[in-house]
Amino acid sequence: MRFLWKKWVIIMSKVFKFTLLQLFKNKSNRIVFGILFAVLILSVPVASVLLGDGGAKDIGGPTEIYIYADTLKGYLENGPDDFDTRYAVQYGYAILVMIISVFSATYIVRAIVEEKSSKLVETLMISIRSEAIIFGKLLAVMAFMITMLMGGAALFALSCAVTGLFTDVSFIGDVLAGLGISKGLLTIGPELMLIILISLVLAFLLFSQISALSAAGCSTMEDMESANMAGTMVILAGYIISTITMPMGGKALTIAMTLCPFVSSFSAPVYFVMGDIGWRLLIGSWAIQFLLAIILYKISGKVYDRLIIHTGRRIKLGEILAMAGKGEGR
Amino acid sequence: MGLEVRNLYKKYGEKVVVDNLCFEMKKPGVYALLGTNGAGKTTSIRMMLGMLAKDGGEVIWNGQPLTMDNCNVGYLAEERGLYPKYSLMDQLMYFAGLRGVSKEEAKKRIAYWAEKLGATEYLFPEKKTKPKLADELSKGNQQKIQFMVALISDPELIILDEPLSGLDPVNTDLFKGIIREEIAKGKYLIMSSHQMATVEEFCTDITILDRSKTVLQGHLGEIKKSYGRVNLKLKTEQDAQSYIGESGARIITMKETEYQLRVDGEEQANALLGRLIDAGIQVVTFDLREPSLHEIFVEKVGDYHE
Repeated sequence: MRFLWKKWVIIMSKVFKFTLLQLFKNKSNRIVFGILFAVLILSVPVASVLLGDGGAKDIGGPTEIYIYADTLKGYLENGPDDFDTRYAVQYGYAILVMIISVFSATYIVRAIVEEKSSKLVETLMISIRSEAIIFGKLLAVMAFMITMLMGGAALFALSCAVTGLFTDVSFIGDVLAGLGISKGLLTIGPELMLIILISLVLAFLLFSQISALSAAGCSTMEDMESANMAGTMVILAGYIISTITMPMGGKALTIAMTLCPFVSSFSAPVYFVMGDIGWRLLIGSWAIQFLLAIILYKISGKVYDRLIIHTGRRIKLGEILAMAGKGEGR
Repeated sequence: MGLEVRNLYKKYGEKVVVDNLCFEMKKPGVYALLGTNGAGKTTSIRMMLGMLAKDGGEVIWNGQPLTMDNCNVGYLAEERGLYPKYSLMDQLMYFAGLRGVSKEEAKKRIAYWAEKLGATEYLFPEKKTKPKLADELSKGNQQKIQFMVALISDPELIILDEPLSGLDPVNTDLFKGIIREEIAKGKYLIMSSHQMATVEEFCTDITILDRSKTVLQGHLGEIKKSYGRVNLKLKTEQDAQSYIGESGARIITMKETEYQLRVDGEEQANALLGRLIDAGIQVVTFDLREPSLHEIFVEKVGDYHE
């Protein structure tokens, strides 16, 4: 039977649009991100009052927080404390990946289990293949998280800029310096932005597909926590390994952590920015992650149809993978 | 032309759950797929709709394998629901979009069905009134929205799995009216239900499944005819038990002087009537008829479950 890609994409985009709209409309999402954004906006002026001199500053434009990939290597070579810097950069990036991944995993699990427990799946499957349902949701959650991330970053930058017009915000530089990162040295240029974006998207695709698979084995909202746990454990494992191994250095360990999927989502871009690996290894790391994402997608394709109409006890991730291996997907 | 299901087969491990199901609908009408719980009805429907892979057989629609691309299907699943926290209009527009209905057309159809099903106040609330969410509706009203979802694409093949379960008599009549209208429009309907009276009211052809196998199939009228007129409803003014006993008829149920009897055939029934008249028993009701679908169903699949 001919597979109609055009129709698949159109239908999948409707799932994407609907899921994204509902993520934005969701009351608890609005509350959570409202609080987060409020914290981001208020943290700079509040901290400036508490930590700064509190006096009015000459109008000198926004604060100077720059992250420059090109000059970072130089800074690291001559920097005062390489260990602190490495640890701070790794820790900061790993936290970013972890937050995005855990949030995304939770949203994906909730979206899938909600649909299953609401007994909507069969109604949906009249119009759409199960992979398109899940893929549409993954993309919607990714778009939602990227929007929230960019929104948060923009609001923080705006808060810094506006606060900098009225008061001293030099404490931000002091905090960064305390972490081993000097202000004025770091600016997020387009190249670094692209590296971060690609790395985040790949991390998202890997972790979210595991969560989606795990969620597809659930039938009720009560099972949601267990499904969430499976994805979160994989994310936490990657996070912990990357933050422990990063400051250790060592060529073999660096290469292993760059190429080992799930850990590399947290460490590969940091190793690259730190100058520990070159483009070749970074692209190799991305390729492995992309390949694994494809394999997970193929596995998903084999089992979703059966899982998605499954009701009853929760099918665990291990059983799902075994089902896919035996070709018992439908 | 029409729908043809050929040797549909499915097994999980060693267990056969659908064993060579065959039936066809050559012209529009209502076909009933009946069976006990776990007989394989829902699995068959899922295979027909391509939700589950078939281990054998094929489903043909107008000479082509049935796909969602060549057949506009409306499906009311047995396990059905709505997004509990999303607005009803959002959900209906979403499902309409998935079925390829344009926004403008979807709005028209939603308004039409809302009017028809008495759901206008939920879907088109007055200004300054918050739109209703699904979990704020009663079960019957949720079912109206689910029914709208099934019919929003104006499907040519409609599959209704337990369409009237959980409805009050008023809503049951409302839904029945809509089913009748769809039949009148020339749609192909497949209905699965445990409410035999409802099936009997609509269906022309049936298949009864028992533990994955087809145990009875054919035109309902012909099937009933083959059983003969063996059900006798008798109501008299005086006690008629002794005459019934003499005639050889079996009393199935009895309430005062109102009897539900099983006779061997018309001859035995007529003999009983003659005997009652001769004895001066005043007969109020004498209704000899074929067995109901309920009785046929119980006879066919009852042994295993007794």
